[in-house]
Amino acid sequence: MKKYINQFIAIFSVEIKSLMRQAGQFGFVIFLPFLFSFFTFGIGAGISGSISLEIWFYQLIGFTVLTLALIFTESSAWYVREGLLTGRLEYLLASPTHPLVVVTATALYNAIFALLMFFIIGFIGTIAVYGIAKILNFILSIFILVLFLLPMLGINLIVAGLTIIAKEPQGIIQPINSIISAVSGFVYPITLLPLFLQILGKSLPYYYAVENVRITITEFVNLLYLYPLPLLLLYFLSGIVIYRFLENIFIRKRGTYGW
Amino acid sequence: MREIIVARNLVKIFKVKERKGLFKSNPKLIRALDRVSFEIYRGEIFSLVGPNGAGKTTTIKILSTLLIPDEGEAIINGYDILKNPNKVRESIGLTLSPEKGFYSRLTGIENLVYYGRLYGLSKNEALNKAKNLVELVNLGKDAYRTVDEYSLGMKAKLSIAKCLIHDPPILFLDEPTAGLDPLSARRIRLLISELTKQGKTILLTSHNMWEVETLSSRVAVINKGNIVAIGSSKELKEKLGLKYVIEVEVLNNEIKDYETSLGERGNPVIKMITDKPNETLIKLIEELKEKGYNIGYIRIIEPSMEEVFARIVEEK
Ligand SMILES: Nc1ncnc2c1ncn2[C@@H]1O[C@H](COP(=O)(O)OP(=O)(O)OP(=O)(O)O)[C@@H](O)[C@H]1O
Ligand SMILES: [Mg+2]
Repeated sequence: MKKYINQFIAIFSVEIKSLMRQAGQFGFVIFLPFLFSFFTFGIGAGISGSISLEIWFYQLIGFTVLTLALIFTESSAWYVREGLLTGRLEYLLASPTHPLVVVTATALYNAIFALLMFFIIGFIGTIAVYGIAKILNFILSIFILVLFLLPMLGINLIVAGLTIIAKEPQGIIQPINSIISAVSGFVYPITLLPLFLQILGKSLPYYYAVENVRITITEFVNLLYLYPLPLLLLYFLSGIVIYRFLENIFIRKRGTYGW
Repeated sequence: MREIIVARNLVKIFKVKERKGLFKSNPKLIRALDRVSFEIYRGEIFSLVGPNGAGKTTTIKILSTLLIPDEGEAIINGYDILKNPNKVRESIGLTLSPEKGFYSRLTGIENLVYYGRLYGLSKNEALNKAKNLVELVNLGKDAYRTVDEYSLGMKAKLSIAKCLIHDPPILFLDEPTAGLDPLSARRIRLLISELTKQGKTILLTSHNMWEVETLSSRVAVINKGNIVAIGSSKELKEKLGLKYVIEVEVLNNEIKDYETSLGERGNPVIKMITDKPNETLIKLIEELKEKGYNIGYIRIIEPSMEEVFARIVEEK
């Protein structure tokens, strides 16, 4: 057990250190949801002529969870790509590090980054729109979000596995991200979409993530909306299985280390 | 048990695509290893030499569990590479290409601590070990600079330190001196022979035949995925019947019975070509003494490993 803790901290801390020395990124990402929500809010207000802070908040939360979802699609793919490019993945696989330790360490590092972002933006938004009345709800919504990060992590691992084959992750990430952004109801209700896109949206975890976060903040935790969670956890499990399968076939059997 | 590494009939086949134009491609199989077997003894430096693409790196990757062989088996430090991969991983330190494998934004020390902890060391254990190792490999103050500023030589030192961080009994060094200047290469070589004195077993690959000959106790020559010769460099030379040249300088001016040429110091020199240098030399000296000649310098010119390499590889 002690061994696994040391492995965990090793991966977690170098990733954090590497990120810290790559200054500026975090600030930029935090800025985006504000920018976009103001922008769409402005357009909406201009068209309808009515101004509602609730609509702005709806979109702010939408853009925040969207940004977070996008980070979560691609982070492990970049970890794999960097690992292949720099030769680090080879040495990682030559060490007795447990594969689940690698997954949890990189996931935690991404989750902390994402949750910190959600906390800062959500906190400002909640205070601005509802005052301190909904602060407890907001805190609860962070926990709800954590639960829904697990199925997103599954998709993240599948993308990472495909990156071993494709080498460059962009070609996989971009189509997935466009689909996610379009069908998940981040900035407009999913019911506005044609039926088949609605079905697609409802079979992915993102719609449930953003809806549950919003409901938790504006109303309260609603068990009725949490029902798909056990099913969504299948994403998480299949992510681990598929990644391990692809790693085994393409790395340890075919020797795809690097380019 | 004398053997610490045993490889038996290792086969590795890569599936590749031969590109033909933009869309067409033919699937093709490359037999990178074709029944490779050898044993490495505890405490020795064993070298694997062969032309580019012969299968050296593939062999090392299989033995370090990075690649799964299609056939065959290997036992490292008593553990099977397929059944007990984590025990194998703990038993070996690996350098593949010295310039790769590091976090460039972290310092040398931080990289070593990272790798140490992957092998289960605590922060303090890893840090202390890392500090000792940077002294051992002579990295000095450079250990506290970020790796993106390192020269190739510094990275080579760091990668040797890296593979020692968990104090494994076995080291796999794949071309550890490739691309280094003569002095840096010499420092790495000194370090390697120092490590065997501490009881490490080393599997080395190199394209520098002189390096292979001076460092290793035994050499295997691999060509197109086959081990084509194995033994000490002396054994290989004898097996191939490579000739030694013996030179004996005679200080007398008049010599009968022997063919001579004029030596560097203006004295006649007897040159003989032989495959048994010791016996021939002793016999010659005894004869010369009996005949009352005075002997100057004596020199045996060995055939180089390079010649061994050329013979074996070109023959096949
Ligand atoms: N991942 C891979 N996919 C396809 N073919 C591969 C792969 N890795 C190695 N090969 C092939 O296997 C053969 C052996 O390669 P290997 O890298 O083991 O040679 P080597 O002896 O280390 O050569 P060098 O001296 O150039 O380092 C080569 O023909 C190479 O093209
Ligand atoms: Mg090689």
